[in-house]
Amino acid sequence: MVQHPRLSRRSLLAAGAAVLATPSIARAAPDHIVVASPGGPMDDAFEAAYFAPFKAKTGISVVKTPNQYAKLKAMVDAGAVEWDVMDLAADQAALFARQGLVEPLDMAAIDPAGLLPGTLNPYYTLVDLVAAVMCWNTKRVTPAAVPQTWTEMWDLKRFPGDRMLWKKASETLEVALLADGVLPTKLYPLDVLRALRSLDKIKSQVSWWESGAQSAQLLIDGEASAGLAWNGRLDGPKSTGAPIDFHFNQALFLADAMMIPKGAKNKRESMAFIAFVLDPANQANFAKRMPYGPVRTAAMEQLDPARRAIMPTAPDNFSKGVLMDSNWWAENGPGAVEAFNTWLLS
Amino acid sequence: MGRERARRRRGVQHLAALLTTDAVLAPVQGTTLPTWTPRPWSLRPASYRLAAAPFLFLAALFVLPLLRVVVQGFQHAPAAPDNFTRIATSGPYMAVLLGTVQTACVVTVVCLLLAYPLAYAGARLQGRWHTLFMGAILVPLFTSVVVRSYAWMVLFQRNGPFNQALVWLDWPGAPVRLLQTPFAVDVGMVHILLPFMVLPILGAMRAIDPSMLQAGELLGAPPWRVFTRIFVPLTLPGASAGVILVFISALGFFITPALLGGARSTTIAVLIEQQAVDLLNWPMASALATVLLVLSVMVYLGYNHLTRRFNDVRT
Repeated sequence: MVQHPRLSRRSLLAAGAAVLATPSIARAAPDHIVVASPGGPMDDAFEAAYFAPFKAKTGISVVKTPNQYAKLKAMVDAGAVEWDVMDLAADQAALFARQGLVEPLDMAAIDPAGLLPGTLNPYYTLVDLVAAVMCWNTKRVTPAAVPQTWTEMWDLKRFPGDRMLWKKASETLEVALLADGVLPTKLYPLDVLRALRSLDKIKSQVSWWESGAQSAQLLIDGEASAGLAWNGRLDGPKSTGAPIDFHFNQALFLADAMMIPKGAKNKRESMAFIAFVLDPANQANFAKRMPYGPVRTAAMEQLDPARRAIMPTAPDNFSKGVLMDSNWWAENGPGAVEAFNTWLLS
Repeated sequence: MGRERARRRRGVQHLAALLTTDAVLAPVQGTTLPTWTPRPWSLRPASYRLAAAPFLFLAALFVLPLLRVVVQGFQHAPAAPDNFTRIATSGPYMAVLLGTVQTACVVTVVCLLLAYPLAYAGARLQGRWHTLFMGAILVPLFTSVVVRSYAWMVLFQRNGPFNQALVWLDWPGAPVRLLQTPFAVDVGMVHILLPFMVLPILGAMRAIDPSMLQAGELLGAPPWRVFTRIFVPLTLPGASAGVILVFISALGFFITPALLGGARSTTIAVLIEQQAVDLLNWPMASALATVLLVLSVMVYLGYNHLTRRFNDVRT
């Protein structure tokens, strides 16, 4: 018979304290990490391209949860962070980094070779690029009248009907400045007042959309003749025969970013996951499912030519547009939003 | 004949009962009779303990967080003006608040005008027809506000059924812009809030003792006078409950104005969401929420004051 050593209360307490004091590095790897993501079709692509392969490679499964921004702040403020990685728009990531809600990235964990310039930031990394493009309803806009520049989009005599725009300051102010003749290279810092004066010229003929799904619907129904929408919302209906089309001329490129919430518990695994997302093969797998461009240039070579042609980051497309300056929005967003909201009512 | 006579007799008895109540007799006799008025509800010590659980629940999960919101509204960066000054003096805030109140007023009045005759018809239905009527009122509540707002988007669009009908009628200027107008927002909100106006009015109408109306008729009042002097006053508590319910709900509307409204249909709820969710400026969001809360409470207190005065006049 084996003699069990007698456990005194003191030794038990000491053992407990030792466990609690063990630094997180020495803890066994978690069996899962929590990734906050935008939901919808994005989540399906994430699951197939990133989550399932990550589990297959590391044994760590990924639990999905909605990326509610307010919850991020609540968790960080309360010191009880449940998420390990968050996927969100890059300008939001830049804003939250300024607000102290984000853990700095461990750059040693990421291979910087072959990434688009501007991908890596101290607190977040871009993971794919969306294009806010000029689009039109092919029944309402004749091929000859298709606007090639935002200035032509602003020309109310060019074709009849409403122009649709996002009812938010970001993206809308940018294209308003391009329409007013500002050079893409001189876009930032944005001249908000000039942008609003430019919007004044078309105000009576704008249909505003507030969600991506709504933008596609406005265009397909012909409620708006042309305007701005995200390429990922147009690609599906266009390929299934809806009377809509778009091009990348003067497109505004927006990025999806990933970041680690401040105080996240499994930082090492979070970094491993982010590095995994930036792997060329995984980036290509994502791009096969969503028409959002990989930030790792090597991923483009793994796509067939037809798929490559609709990617915002295909060299032919990327060179036509301008990348949104997330840092400008992080710094000036609140003021610009207030000015835009005031203008809407005027 | 016999039944008719019996009904009349009941009416007379009811009238007699009414006339002999203290409230009616007291002014006549010039004295105040000793009266026992039951208080609306009262707590005995034993029931305090029963009430403790819900009270604590509300205090911990509703009152305290609400207080935190109010307190947070007063926080601001040292260099910046305080949030309430900002709301009152700059930006879109006062204009949006005014627009929100305006929309709520329009929606409430339209709801009342539609709901009153609707409830009147519903209150007279019996059996299967009444069940059908209640179903028609209640079933829309099972559909989400988002779906119902999207449905209006489909109906109101340039190629939608309304505009097709206008084109068919050779309406001048058709197809007209219906979406992204205040009109679309009003229609969508009335559609969503109508049940909340119909139900309390219907309840009040069905609770009316028919012999009260007969008593009026017996005293020689023409039907319109019975309606305006007896029926309408008896439904006022239901109507005022409906008004307050619809008005305060309308103040906080978010989805419908966002989907159906245009540039000028920004509501205060939209601004609160932008501050709370996009910009994570919780002090500003809290200040806006506090303004909305104070506004709602003021409306409620006004309602309370009016109904109490009304009740005082009646008894």
